[in-house]
Amino acid sequence: MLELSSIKLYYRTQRGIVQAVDDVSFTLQDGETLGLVGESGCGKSSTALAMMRLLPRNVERYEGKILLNGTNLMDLDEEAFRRQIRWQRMAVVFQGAMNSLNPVLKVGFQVAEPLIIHKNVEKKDALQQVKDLFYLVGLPPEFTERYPHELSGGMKQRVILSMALILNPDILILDEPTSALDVSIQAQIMNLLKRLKKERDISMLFITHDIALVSDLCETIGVMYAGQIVELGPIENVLLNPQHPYTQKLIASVPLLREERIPDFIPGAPPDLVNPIRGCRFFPRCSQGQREFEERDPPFLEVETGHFVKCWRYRDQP
Amino acid sequence: MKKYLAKRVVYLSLTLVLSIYIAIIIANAGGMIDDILSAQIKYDITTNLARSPGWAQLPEEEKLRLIEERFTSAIHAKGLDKPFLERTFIYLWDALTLNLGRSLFITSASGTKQISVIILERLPRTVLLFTTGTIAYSIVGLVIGLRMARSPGSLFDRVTTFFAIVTQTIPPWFFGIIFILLFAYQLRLVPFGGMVSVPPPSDPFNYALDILFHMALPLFTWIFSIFGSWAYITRNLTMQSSEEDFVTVARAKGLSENLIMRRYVLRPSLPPIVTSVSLSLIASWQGAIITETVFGWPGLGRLYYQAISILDAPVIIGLTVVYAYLLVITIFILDLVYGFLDPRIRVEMG
Amino acid sequence: MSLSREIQDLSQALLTSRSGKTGLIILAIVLGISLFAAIYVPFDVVAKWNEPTFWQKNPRTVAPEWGTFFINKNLPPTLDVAPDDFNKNEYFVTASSLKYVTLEALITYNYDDFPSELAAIVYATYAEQRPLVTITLERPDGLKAVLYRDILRSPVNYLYLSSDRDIRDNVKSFLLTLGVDTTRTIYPELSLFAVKNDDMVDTRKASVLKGFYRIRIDVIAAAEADTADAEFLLYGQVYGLAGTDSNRRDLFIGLVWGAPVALAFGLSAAIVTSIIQSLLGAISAWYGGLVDEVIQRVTETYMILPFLPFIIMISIVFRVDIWFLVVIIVALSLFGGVTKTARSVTFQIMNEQYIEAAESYGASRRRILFLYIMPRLLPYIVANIVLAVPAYVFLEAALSVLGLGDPMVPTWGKMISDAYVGGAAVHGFWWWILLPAVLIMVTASAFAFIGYALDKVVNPRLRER
Repeated sequence: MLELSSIKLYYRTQRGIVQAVDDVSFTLQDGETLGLVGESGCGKSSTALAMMRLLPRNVERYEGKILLNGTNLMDLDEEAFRRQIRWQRMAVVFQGAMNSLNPVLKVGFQVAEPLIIHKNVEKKDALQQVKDLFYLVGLPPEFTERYPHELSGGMKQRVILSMALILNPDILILDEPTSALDVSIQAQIMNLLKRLKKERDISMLFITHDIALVSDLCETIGVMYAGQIVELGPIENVLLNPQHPYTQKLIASVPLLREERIPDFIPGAPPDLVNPIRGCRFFPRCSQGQREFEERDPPFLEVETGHFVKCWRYRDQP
Repeated sequence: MKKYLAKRVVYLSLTLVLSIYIAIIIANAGGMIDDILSAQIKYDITTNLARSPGWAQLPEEEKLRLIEERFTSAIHAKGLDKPFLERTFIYLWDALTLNLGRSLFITSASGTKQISVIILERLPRTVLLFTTGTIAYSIVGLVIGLRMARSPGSLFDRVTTFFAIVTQTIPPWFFGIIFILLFAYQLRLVPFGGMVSVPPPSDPFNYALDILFHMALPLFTWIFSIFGSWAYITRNLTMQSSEEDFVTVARAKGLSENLIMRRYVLRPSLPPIVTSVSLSLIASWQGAIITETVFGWPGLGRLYYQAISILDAPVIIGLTVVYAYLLVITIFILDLVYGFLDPRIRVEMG
Repeated sequence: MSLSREIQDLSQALLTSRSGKTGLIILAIVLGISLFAAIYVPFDVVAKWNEPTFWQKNPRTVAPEWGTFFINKNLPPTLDVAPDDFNKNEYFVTASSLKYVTLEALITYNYDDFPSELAAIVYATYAEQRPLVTITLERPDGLKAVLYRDILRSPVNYLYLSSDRDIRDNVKSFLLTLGVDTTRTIYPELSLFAVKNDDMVDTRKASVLKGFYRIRIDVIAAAEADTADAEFLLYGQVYGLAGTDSNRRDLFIGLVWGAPVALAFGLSAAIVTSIIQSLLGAISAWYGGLVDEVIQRVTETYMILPFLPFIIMISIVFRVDIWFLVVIIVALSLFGGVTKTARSVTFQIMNEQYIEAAESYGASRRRILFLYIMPRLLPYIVANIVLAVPAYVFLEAALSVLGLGDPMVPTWGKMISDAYVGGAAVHGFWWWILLPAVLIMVTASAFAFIGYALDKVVNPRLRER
C-alpha cells in the first residue's frame, strides 16, 4: 500500500520558483487503480516524477512522506532508493513512447536490462523472460532483436509496458500512456491494461487528461489543479456527483455522443505556478466562489466516505 | 549493412576518380604532365642508348636523330600524341594505379627517385604523428567535454567554452609557429623541429626516445589547438542527449549514473560525434601539410612543401593523388564506424 | 518572415550577449584600423612594400621602440643626420684650382647600446672630374678614425660604413694603431663607438663610449661650381611602433594595411560562398526530386575533394594574385556544408502554413524561394560567413607559409610567413611573428565570438540551465 503525504516538488526557473506539486496527498491500496486527471501543467506528471524521485537539476524543494507498506521512502538515500525501490517496487511508463527507448540498443535488451542489473540474471535467461512477457503483451518473441525505429507506435508502447513490468513492481505509474497513439491502438493498450489489472494484482496510478479513459480503468479518481489535488474519491461518486466546481466543469466539458447538450468550457487559463495566490487557486475561474475564498488555501474535506474535496464551499460540513 | 557499405564504396571510388581527374586536368592545364613525361621518356631513351656499345663513336647528329626517332615512337606507343582529353585519361589510369613515375629532384633516403618509394618512406611518419595526435585530442576533448556537460554554466564550463571559441578558428600550424618561438627558442625546452636529432642516436631505444622528444611539441600543439572545439561539440551533444526522454527512463529503471552516461548518453551521441570527427579529420589532413612544414616533420606534408619550393612537379602531382586516396580511405573507415554505431543507418540501407 | 525581421533577430542576439558584444567591439576596432590605414598610408602600399630602396633608411630587423620597456637599456633609435644638419664650409683655392668643401655634424650619443649599422650618403655635384672624399669620425675621447678616402663614383653615393670591405679595412687600421687585436671580425658600428680598451672588438664585452661624436666629411673637387652635401645614418636598435623586418620595412605599415586586406579578402570569399551554398541548398529542398538528388551528390563529392592540394596545384600552375585566389576559393566551395544545413532548414520551412498560403494565392515557385525561404536562411548564412572569414584569412596565410599565394600584397599571413622563412623563430625576432600573429588571432577571435553569439539563434537547443 502506498501512502503519499504532503508531497511538495518545487523547481527553480528563470522566472522564479515553480510550485509544481504543492502538498499532494493520496493513498493507493493494493491492486487499486487511481486515475489522476487535470489540464496540462497542473502537476500530474511532476507527481509521478516526485514519486520516482526523478528530480531535475533545478529542484528547489522536495519534501513530504511516501510510505510504501510502512517504510518512508524519503528516508532512503539515493543509492538505496535506486537499488531497492526504482523499477523493483515502482515503475513508470512515460508520456511519449516515441522517445522512451534508446535508439541504439535492441528493444529486447532494454527490457531485459533491469533483470540483468538488479537481479543478476544471465542475459540469455533474461531475454527468455522478456520473450514471455512479450507474449503477454501481444508482441512476437522475435521482436527482442529489433531496434526501436523498426517498431510502430503501438508496438513501442507495448515494449515500454513490458519493460515496466519486467521486475514485477508493486506499483505501476502510467503517465499519459496513450496520448500519442491513434484511437484503435489506444483501445488495444487500454484492454491490455485491464487484462494486466486482472491477472497481476498490481496497483496503478493512471495519469491522463482524458476522463473517459479513467472511467474505464480506475476505481478511484483524483482531480488535480494548479499543483494540488482538489477532489479525490471513488470513481462513481466523483463522476456522478462531483463536488468541486472545477471537477463539475471538467465533466460538463466532455462531449457526449448522443446528447444534444453543448459541452461547457472553463473560462480563463490555468494559473501560473510561479506565484500562486494564497487562497483557493481555482477562485479566478470559479463561478461559485465568494470573496473570502481567495484569502486562505481551502482544507481537504471529506464530504462522504472516501470522497474528499478541497473547497471552501463545504466548510460547514461535519 | 552490407548494402550500405557497398553503396559507399562505389560512391567513394567515383569521387576518388573524379578528384584525381580534376587534379590531372589542373596540372596539365599548363602542360605540366606532358612536359614531365616527355622529359622522362627522353631521359630513359638517352640513358638506354648511351649504354649500347658503339654509342660514343657515333657522330652528334646521328645520336640526336636516333634519340628523336625513338622518342617519337615511344610517344606514339604510349599514346601521348593523342588529343588532350584522351591523354588525360591515360594519365588518370596511371594515377589510379599509383604508377607515379620518378621525381625531378627529390630522392628517397635509399637514393632512388621513384616517387612511390619516396612517398612510402614518409607516409608512416605522417601517420605516426597524425594518428597519435588525433587519438590524443579525441580522448582529451571527450573527457573534458563530458566534464563540462556535467556542470553546465559552471566556471569550468565557461572558461573551457571561451578557450574553445578562441582556438576553434585558429589552425594548429599557427600555434605551432608561436609555440616554437616560445618553447623552443625562448625556453629551450624542446627542439626546433625535425623528427630526430642530428646525428640520431644509434640504439633503437634511444632512437625511439629521440623521436618522442621531437614529437612532443607538434603533438602538444596539435592537441592544444583542436581539443577545445572538440570538447565543446562533445559537451553540446551529450547535453542534448542527456535531456532525451530515454535517459529519464534509464534513471527510472534504477541504473547507475555511470551506466547511464555510457550507454544512454554517450552511445547515442556517437553517430553525430563521428560525423563531426569526419568533417574535422578532412580539415586536419590538409592542415597537416602546413603543420609538418612548420615543424620540419619529415612526413608527407613536408614533402609537399619541399616539392613545391623546388617545383618538383611529378612529386606534387603524385602527392595530390596519394592525398586523395588517403582522404577517401579515411572517410570510408569513418562510414564503417558510423554504420556500426547507428543501427538506423544499417537497417535503412539494408 | 521578412528580411528585416530576421536581421532584427540576429542583431538582438548579437547585442544582448556578452560574447556578441565583445566580438563586435573587436571587429569595430579592426575596421577602425582599416580606415586609419586608408588615411595614414595613402601611398601605393603594394608597390612600395616591394621596393627595397623605399626603406633604405630603416634599420634591419629591429624591435619596436617600446620594446625597450622590458629591457632596462636605453636602446638607440635611428638617427638620421640630414644634409641640413651639417655645417658646410666651402672655399675655392685658385692657385691649385681645387674646391674644398667641409661638412661637419655633431652627434650626441648617450645610449646604452651600439648602432646596428652605419651609413653615409654623399650627394655631389661636379662638372667633370669626380671629387675626392674623406670621411672622419672624431670620438668623445679625442681619437679620430678615417673611415673612407676615395674618389666618388657617382653623384649620389651610398656608403655602407658597416659592411663595405675597404671601409672595414680602414677601421681595422685605426684599431691597429690603438694596439687592439684585429684578428677577429671587425664591426665598425661597434668598435667606433666603443670605449677604448681590449674589448672594443668583442661584441659581448664592449661598452659604449657615450658623448659627443663629430662626423667630418672633406671633399676635394676640381671645379669651383662643384659642391657636395652629406647625410649620415646611425641605424638604431629599435624602430617605430612595430619594428622592422629583414627588408628594413616598417612593420607598422604592413600591420595596419593588413587589416583591410584581411577583412576584404575574407569577407568577399565568405559572403559569396555562403550565399551560393545556401541558395543551392534551398533550391535542392524546394524543387526536390532529381534536382535534389543531383545537388546532394555533387555536394558530397565537393566535400570530399582535397581542397588544399587543389589550391596548391592551381597556385603552382597559374600565377595567383589575391583576388584570383578569391575566385578559386569560390569555385572550389560552390557546394559545401552550408548546402546541407540550408537544405534541412528549408525542408522545415517548406511545411509551414504561410508557404502553403503563398502557393495558393499563385506566387511562383521562384518568388517564394527568394522572398520567403531565403530570408529565413539568413541566420545560417550569417553564422557561416562569420566562421568562414577567419578560415579564409588563415588559408591565405597558409599559402604564404608554403611560398604560394600573392607575393606582392602585404597581408598578416604573408608577414608571418616571411617571419618564419626569415628565421624569426630561431633568432628571436619576436615582434615580427607576434605582432601580426596577435592581430590575426584577435580578429579571428572577434569572428568566433560573434559566431558563438549567433549559435544561440541558429541552434536554439544549446542553452545551459
